Amino acid sequence: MSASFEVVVVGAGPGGIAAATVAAEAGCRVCLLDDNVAMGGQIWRGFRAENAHKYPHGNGFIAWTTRLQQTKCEVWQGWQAIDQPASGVLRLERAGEIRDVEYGNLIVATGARERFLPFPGWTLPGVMGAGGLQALVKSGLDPQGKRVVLAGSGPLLLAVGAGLASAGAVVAGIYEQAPLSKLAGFALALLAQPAKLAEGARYRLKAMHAPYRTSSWIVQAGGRGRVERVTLTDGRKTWSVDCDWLGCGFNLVPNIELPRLLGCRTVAGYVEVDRLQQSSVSRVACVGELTGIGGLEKALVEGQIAGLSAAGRETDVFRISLTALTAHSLCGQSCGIWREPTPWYAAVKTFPTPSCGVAQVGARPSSTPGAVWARAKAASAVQRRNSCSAGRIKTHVRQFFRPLYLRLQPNYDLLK
Amino acid sequence: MTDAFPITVNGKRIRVNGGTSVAAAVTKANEPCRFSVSGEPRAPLCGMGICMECRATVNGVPHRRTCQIACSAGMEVLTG
Repeated sequence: MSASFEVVVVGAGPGGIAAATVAAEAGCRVCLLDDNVAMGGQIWRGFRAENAHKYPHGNGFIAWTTRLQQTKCEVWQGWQAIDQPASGVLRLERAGEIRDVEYGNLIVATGARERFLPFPGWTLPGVMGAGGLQALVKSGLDPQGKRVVLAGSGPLLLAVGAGLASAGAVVAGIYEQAPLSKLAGFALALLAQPAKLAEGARYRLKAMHAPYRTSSWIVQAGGRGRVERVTLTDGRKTWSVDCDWLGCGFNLVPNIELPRLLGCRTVAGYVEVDRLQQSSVSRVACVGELTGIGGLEKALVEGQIAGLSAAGRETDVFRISLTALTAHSLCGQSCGIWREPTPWYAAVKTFPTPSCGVAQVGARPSSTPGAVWARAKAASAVQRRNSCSAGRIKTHVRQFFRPLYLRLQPNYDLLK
Repeated sequence: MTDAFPITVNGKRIRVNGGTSVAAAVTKANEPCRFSVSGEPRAPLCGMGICMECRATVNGVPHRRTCQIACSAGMEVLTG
């Protein structure tokens, strides 16, 4: 069986949903493909319209899925892209069934997975990725009363600890391999993003019963038939902690298998894209973690850029970038993910989720401080032309703080 | 979540809530999903359809990624 669409989006996480939504709103025939049981990707996994508001980031999910449902976008759930039988055609598989889909433009939003570092015992049942454990809990695994150890590196450990603790697990310890000095640098950098800092603090408070140790890492996991204890070290002494589950993860790696299959050029493990998210292969755009780990806000902004671009609305891309930048610099992170949408933002009448992603952390070329600075300059030049004097004052204030602001962008590499 | 319903994992009947993934059900039943070529038990690692460690036979179809399938009433899962 074969079907044909003007725009095909692979991956229904935030980036894919944003791309499919704006492309469909612009009048394109769009198909959104997803490998999972339900849409949402990882950060929105397990969210449904009726329960999402209870979770962090849930309001964004509701806003975007509502907007998507108002379009004629087709959503194919449970399909996995496995091959490219001809240029402009994707071959899909679901439970042994094969289907080909022809695309005019393809937007790949396959997200990221956790980086695993092996250690003795890492294949034991009960040893999982930290995010994987969270995913299983979101998919119906009951963690009530289970002792969980989290180890590895990155802010995800805290988020997972908080999630598991509120679901009733006993978090027996969170072990971060980075030393305190590096974490302090990271926290300092986060001062420029108060909402992110608050998010971290909130996570920590939720799992307050759990010891949090820096400079410590896993030596091995042991147990008969499944994990029963984990041995850790700080380089001087070693100790063991009993646990039912061990969640570990060392930051994220993008899922670049599909872009690679299509022939997209990658640089340092990320897909290289231009200003419009276009990859080196014509008619193929990549968004979100594929182009540099940056999280929800970056994925939403890039998804919209790719969606508009695929719909031939390049001029609107500038509006998205401008709005993202304005939101980023005017309200900073205070209008971030915890309070969406803001009245100010609604007045701008662009998109419902405030985004601060353009200047987000990430390794991709176009989100380097230089590129963001260039965009900021372009944006403010337009504002100067169009705006009243109040607007001009805002612009000046923003310009004044921007260099400081950019310098303070947190660098996740610090944790490596 | 819809109401709980039964499924079988290696002949064991367990009750799961609607929306539960098969991988979560197998973990709840305390069974490994598969055995490696050297006979080691293996269970879900990534939980998001990438690692292939959670493969099992679902309703007679072998090598299904159980973390990517939702349980349905009367489903039969065979691991190993």
